[in-house]
Amino acid sequence: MLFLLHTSRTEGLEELRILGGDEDKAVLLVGDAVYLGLPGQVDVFETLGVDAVFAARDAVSVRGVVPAEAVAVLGYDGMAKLILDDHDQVISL
Amino acid sequence: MSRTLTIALLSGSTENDDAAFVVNLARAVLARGDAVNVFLYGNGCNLANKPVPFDGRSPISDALRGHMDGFVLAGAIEELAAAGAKFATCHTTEYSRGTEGLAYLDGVAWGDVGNSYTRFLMSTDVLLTIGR
Repeated sequence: MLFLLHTSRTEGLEELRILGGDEDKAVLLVGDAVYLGLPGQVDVFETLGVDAVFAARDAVSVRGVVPAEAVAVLGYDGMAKLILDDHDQVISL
Repeated sequence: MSRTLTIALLSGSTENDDAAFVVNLARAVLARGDAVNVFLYGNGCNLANKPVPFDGRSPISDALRGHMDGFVLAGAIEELAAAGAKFATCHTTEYSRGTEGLAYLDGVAWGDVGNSYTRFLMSTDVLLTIGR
């Protein structure tokens, strides 16, 4: 199950655990949500049972930030594949 | 087998990069040979119309104009529509903004939740809602 986040709000992140249940969970961070992928912020996803965190390359670049090492940065080709091919369910929050 | 992505876009072009993300993602989806529908809802409907040139004196500097031009997505939307992306508006949100009667970009259709958006949903594999 893939969760797409596009804001940096942390309220409501618990929904990942509730909606994801026991499913394998991944998160794609786009727009302002890439701030959640920074060192010191990204750990919250592990506590929510998220197995993989991805971030949009252009959103990272334009903000001049460096995501945590565990965050995989993707271009649009990679994001399209992630959204359309790699997960049975995609939820945008 | 071709997959279909539907995106409900709730943001206009300038307040944040939501609309730019949607345009760029749609471009990547079409490049794969898949299909994309974009429903322009709420502030997203501000992207639907032909630009209206301003003929008067404008104090916008060339540098600022160049910066702001990066937020103008009209050309990109028309290109995506010509490449097969389907765009429809929510006419109710246009009505509340006084834009329902304005000319649409080529390939953008007047629409509604009950028909346009529902038709998108009935044929889609993935739905994203982007915007605020």
